[in-house]
Amino acid sequence: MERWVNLSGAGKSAAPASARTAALVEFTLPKLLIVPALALIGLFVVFPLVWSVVMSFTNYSMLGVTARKWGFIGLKNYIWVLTDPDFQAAIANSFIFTIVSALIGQALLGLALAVVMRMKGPEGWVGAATKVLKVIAGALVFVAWIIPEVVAGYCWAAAMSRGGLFTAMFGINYNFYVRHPLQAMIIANIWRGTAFSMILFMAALESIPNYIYEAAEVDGATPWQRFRYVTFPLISNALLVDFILITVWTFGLFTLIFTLIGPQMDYMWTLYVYVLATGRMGPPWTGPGPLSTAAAAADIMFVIVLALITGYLYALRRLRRWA
Amino acid sequence: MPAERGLSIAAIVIAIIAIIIAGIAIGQAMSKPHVLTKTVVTTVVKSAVPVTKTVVKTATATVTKTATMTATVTKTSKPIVLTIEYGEPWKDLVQPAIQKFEAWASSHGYNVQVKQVMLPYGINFMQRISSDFAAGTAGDVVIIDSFMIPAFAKAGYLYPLDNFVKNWPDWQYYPEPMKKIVTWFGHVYGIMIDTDVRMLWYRKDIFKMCGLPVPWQPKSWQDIIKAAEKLKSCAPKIEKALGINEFYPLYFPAGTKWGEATTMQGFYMLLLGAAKPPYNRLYDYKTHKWICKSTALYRSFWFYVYTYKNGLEPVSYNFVSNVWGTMRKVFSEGKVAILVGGSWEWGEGWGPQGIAPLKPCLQKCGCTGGKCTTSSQIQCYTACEAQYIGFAKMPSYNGSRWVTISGGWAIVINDKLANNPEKLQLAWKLITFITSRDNEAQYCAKYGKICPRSDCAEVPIYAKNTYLKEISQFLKFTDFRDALPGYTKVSYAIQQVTGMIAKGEITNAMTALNKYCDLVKRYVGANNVEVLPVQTS
Amino acid sequence: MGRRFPLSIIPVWAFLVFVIWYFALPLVWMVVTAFNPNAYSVAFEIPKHPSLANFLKLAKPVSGVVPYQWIVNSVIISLATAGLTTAVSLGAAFVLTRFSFRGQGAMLTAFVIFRLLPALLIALPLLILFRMWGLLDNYGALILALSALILPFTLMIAESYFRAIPITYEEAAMIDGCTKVGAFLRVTLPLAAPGLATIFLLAFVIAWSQFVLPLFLIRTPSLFPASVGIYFFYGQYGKVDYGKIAAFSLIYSIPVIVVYFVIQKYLRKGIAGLVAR
Repeated sequence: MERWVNLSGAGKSAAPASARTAALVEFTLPKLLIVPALALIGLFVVFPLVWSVVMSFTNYSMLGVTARKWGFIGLKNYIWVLTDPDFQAAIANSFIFTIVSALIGQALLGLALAVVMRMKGPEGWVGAATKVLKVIAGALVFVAWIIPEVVAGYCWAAAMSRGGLFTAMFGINYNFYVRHPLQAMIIANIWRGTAFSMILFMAALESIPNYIYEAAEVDGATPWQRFRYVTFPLISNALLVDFILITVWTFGLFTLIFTLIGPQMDYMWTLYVYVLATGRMGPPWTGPGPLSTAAAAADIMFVIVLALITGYLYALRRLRRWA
Repeated sequence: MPAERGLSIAAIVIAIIAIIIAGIAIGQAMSKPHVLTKTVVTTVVKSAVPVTKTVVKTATATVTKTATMTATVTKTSKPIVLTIEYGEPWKDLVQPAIQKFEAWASSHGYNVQVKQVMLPYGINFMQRISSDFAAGTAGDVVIIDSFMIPAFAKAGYLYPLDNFVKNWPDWQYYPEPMKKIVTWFGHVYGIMIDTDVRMLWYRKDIFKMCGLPVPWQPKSWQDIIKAAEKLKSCAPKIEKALGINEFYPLYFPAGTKWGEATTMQGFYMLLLGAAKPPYNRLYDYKTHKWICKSTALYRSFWFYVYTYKNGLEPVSYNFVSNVWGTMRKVFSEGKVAILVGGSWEWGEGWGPQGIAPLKPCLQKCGCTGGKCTTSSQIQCYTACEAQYIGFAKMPSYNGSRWVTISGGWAIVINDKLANNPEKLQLAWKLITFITSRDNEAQYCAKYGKICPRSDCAEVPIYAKNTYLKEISQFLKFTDFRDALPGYTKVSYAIQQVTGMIAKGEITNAMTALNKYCDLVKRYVGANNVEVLPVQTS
Repeated sequence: MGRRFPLSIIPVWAFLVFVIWYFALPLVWMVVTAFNPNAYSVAFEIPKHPSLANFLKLAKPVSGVVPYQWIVNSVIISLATAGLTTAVSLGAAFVLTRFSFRGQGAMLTAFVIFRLLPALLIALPLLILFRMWGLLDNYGALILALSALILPFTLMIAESYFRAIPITYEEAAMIDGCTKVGAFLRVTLPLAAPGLATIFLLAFVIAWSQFVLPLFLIRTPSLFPASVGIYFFYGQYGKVDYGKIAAFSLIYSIPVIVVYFVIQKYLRKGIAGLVAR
């Protein structure tokens, strides 16, 4: 890449005008090809994020008088949201949900699956049967990850209703997702996201050369010791990458939970924002559908999400420096 | 090779631009709303058009303005475009009236085009109309949910009709409650076009099975609870007889999933009878404050707590994805014996072409595919329906009076016509055609809705319908919501608290009342609420 | 011949059977119910007379909209979005890999962060903006917003793809008299064609599955994409025909499953790349 820069630099200094034009056409104009991408991101991602902060200081609403006549009201929206017991419950539940379903559920199940998938089976029909089971399990895990989230949510809602497959198997005669929303969310999200961790860990395990294990075996290490002292250190990088991605994805989950448990505002912050934005309640100073208050809630969460991302990125950098 | 260079850059840039333009173009083409536009252009035949007598008579206050109108009509050859915005359910009310209006307009020499903006089924009409008003794109004449009138009036969206109705002979046929719904701080902002009432629906067959009297008319809340408790003790017998796996005696909607219906259908039916007026409401019209705590509120929450805590009411039906459909289905299947519901359910819910018709009646009348189609089938089914389903008036707390509540839709004029007297007159004329006695009676009879005009009963097609005639009696004691700005938020607090009661998170009426009060304070502001003394006996 | 059955395989089998049960469970409901012509409750039941009736019923209007219309809408939206994102990421990836300029690193980090942002955080302000600009219910605006949301994904993939193709090929072409852009178009682009196809397909399925943005930005039922259409099905007031919903969900899921299995190998490679870096 250096070379191109040098070439363009060489043209600049003493070249005649025609050469300079040539350089312009050759090296500067093509750079403009990045403009559509920046324009799209700027207009539809960055600007809305900024605008959301601006609007959170107003009393703008979807309907009512404040839909047309709105003005700035200071920090009122933030105070209202932060003192809302539903919002506090939503944040607490979001963290519980993320930790249990992603960091524990998805990562552990994904790791277990990856280890099993990589295991060498015995020979003969036993091995063949194991292989068939592995292929079926792998395909199903993958399908669970890729089918549209709306479909996944509604399929789980059906399975967890009265008379559904899930409830029937455990002898539950009520709508499980109605009475135990948090548990239902966790079960559905582990189902949904395990594939990613599995694939990631499989790739990580494949990258470990076999001779290391052979050497460990020669040294007389037990399977647990092999995992603890050989496998684990080598996949810790993958583990951290996995944690970053599944945490952030799970923390920002909306569709799966929305379709599963419906607009209940105290179980997930995303649902809280949605219900506030489209619902009929809100602080006294806005009309129905208080978009500005919802924006305040979203901005608080934006800060938390950003902190999560940067914290993880920082940890990743530290880890790489170590290795 | 500059040519090639330029070409390649241009190709990429053009490709990107083309795709963006194509996207926008497709978007524009696809995003045209369902507009059913019908235009009638009547050429002016007479050169000088006199203002018709009716118009002058109906609006004496604006006679001077109508004089200028004559001048404009003669001068302009461009037609006046009058837009009417309404939802598809009112198609059969609006469209015949427009035809008559057009005939009238052409015979009186007006050059008028009526543009119809019909919002199709499936849209949330009020959300759409609200955002149209907010954006300033709403029609000249609009059909809106009557409970939005205060909010819209306060926002300045509606033109007051006082001068029109003052001289409108038909206004006397609207009962007092129907006038009150469309009135906001002494001004009339709309005319009701249909209405409804709410009552207790019950299953006659199940009542008989359990040895309860049929017909049934509870005299107080205690009567309802007693009947429900007796039904509960019969549950195994009923479940066996009907072949169902669950049975609940009573169902009052609760929770946010039901939305406004929880408040109007369930809570208000209790609240309005829970104390003497004016302490049986959510709003205090004297002090202009929302009532945070009162005996009536306490008693209403008590009813919810008692019935849900004792397993008299179903919990999960309140939280399924389609609460309305489930409610109709479980009642039709006999899984619920007493239900608080609207007058429309007779046809829309369990009627011969309803959403959840009664299976035994379908079988008896030979209806296939879950619907009765021929007129003899429908007749047979309707007779059968009356064997299974009955309705009773909702009693007040101690049985001193009857309670019901009405909603319904109203027709209004957009305030943007205020500076256009000519259009204003025509808009009002169109409204008089739509709300005329015969037009209303025809429409209400066809859809099984209650006509807000008392003189509809004189029209044979409406009078023939015995069910409608019977429930029209409810209009005498009906009431309406405290639909002031901020109402939706207070209503949401009720939905939240009743939802918690249903789920078992609140098991005490006082806790419910305190929670409600906290929420209302948060939603409307602590200085906009008042606490009345609470009697807990 | 006397080979002992390895008992140690039993826990492995038990684990795999549990995984199969868990992951097949909700899908079984969808597949079975789609062929049940009389499914009027969510409860699971095996149809006595399985038929394709549900798929035919989808051609009849629901509240004034034929459900297949939603599939058509989804196709239009997803194709336009995929085309736009592919073209835009191609251009941007070319610049990012073939030039170096100030702020490049920051730009890449920004893209990583945008890729991780929950869609809801962008959907809400977009609802406010589109309402102010009068762009609700507008496909063009929706497609641009969707493209912006997907762009960080496709851009990162395109970037890593072009970076993997050695620049020496282009240099050789330039010595032969090609311009920089020309060399890129003639030499690198053909090499990257499979990668571009993957990006297009990936963008297509991400747009196809998107729910949050259309839920916020599209208000009219006849304009819904399939994802919001399914939600609309459930939200209906009247009778819910679960057979129809299951059939519709099945049709809606199939393109995604097909595409993902086609690009599966690439996808695994991409995820493996996350580990290596």
